[in-house]
Amino acid sequence: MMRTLAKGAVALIVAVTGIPITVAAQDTALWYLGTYTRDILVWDEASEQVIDRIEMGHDIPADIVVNEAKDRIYVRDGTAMYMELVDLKTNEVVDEFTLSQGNVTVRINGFAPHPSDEKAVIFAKRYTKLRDRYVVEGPFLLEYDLTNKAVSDTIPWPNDQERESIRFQYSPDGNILYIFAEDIIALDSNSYEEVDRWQISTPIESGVGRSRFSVAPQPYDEEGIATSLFRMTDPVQNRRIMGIAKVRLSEKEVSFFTLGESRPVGNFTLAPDGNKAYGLLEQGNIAEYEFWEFDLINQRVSRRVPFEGRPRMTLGVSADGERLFIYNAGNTIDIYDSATFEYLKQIVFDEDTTFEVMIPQAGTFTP
Amino acid sequence: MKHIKAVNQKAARIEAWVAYEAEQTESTELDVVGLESRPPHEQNGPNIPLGCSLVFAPGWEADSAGGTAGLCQPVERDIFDCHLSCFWPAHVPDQLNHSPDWTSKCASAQKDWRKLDLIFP
Repeated sequence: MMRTLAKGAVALIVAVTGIPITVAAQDTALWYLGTYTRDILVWDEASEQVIDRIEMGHDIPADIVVNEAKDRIYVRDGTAMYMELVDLKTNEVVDEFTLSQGNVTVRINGFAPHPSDEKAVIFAKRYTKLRDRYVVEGPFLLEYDLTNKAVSDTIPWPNDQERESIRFQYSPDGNILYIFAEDIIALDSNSYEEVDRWQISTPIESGVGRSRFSVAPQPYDEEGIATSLFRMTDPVQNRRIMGIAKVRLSEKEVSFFTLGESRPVGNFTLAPDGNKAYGLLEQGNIAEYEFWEFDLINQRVSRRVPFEGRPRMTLGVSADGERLFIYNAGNTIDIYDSATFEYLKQIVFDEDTTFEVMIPQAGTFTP
Repeated sequence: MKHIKAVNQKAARIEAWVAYEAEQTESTELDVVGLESRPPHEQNGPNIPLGCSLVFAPGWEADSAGGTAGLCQPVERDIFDCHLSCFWPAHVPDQLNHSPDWTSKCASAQKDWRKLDLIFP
């Protein structure tokens, strides 16, 4: 049975069907891979070829954020001092900005553009080099005007608690700025006053402990929904169990079903058709690796296949759903057949990669 | 009078530590312990200080469990990520302040590691 939890700490539990919500399968996807040079590689999944490279203005493109319209990417360099804007129609850098000047270095540790691309939220720290010492200030949450290239506002910390690490994103319509702290806090994106709060720090149902699920949609999620593995406490046997959750952040709804005892499975990746998902069981210190296939229709683990993995792995699935990609750390992508989990080939780049985003070439996509 | 006896190694270590602390409390002169030396209450054990920048345990020779199974394979995959994300900052050049272009002549550590520059302080 799939269950739905909604509207904060008081849970509403209803039985729903197991029909997955999907987007149409795509033919291909373009991967934008940062490297330890100045270039971003544009890799076409269908042809398995590097079809373009984008020369950046600063070394080591280390972090990439896709805008809401999926027609530009914001790229942070290795020093975290510069953000460059790349137009994906021309694959060229069209703008850049920095908050550093003279003896003041501002490192940008988080960035979320508004859907209008007129402003963004920046999470940053400021380091001022004096004659005898550095003065470190922050971290700050700043509103940055991308048109006039100026800090336009300072966003107050939720509950007045400064944090060394925080995630945030705008709602698709741009009206809400979500802050992911111990709770999910919804701020008005202009006044930055709290308009709503999802108290996930407390159990969403009595006895299940704190549930952890993702609110970040995957490439093949339906718009506004995030599918992820989640873990909770079995209130009857007092053990951690895992399952699959579909979270609709705008409605504060979680629909989930359980799979069984919690295992070290991660890298949950939704297939394009939405009927399946894949994950990786990783026990690196004893070199035990398995592909897991999740059947979202019948709500079960459908296959577990051991394979020769590597200690640092990220899992991707192709737009046609036929191939699985294992990558991260280094200059290679290992390709496996998603039907048999057989190793097919290895793609070797000339550069080690830092960070990548994948954009399906039709339909909806939210990074 | 002692009513409790340590029956395993961990309990014995705790017992030794408590005894040492009690002795130090009575002593007016505190000791300074070098990072490379063993703690005085545990002459036969290792001294592993906390903090990645304090430990000389090169990431591409031993993993966090002291073995090699958790290392990147091949190990060269890890070198550039240590440079950028600063996990073992003592063992690769400092990317943020002093050697931002250390990787510029060597795009792939596994293929071109001979092109990596030597950095002298």
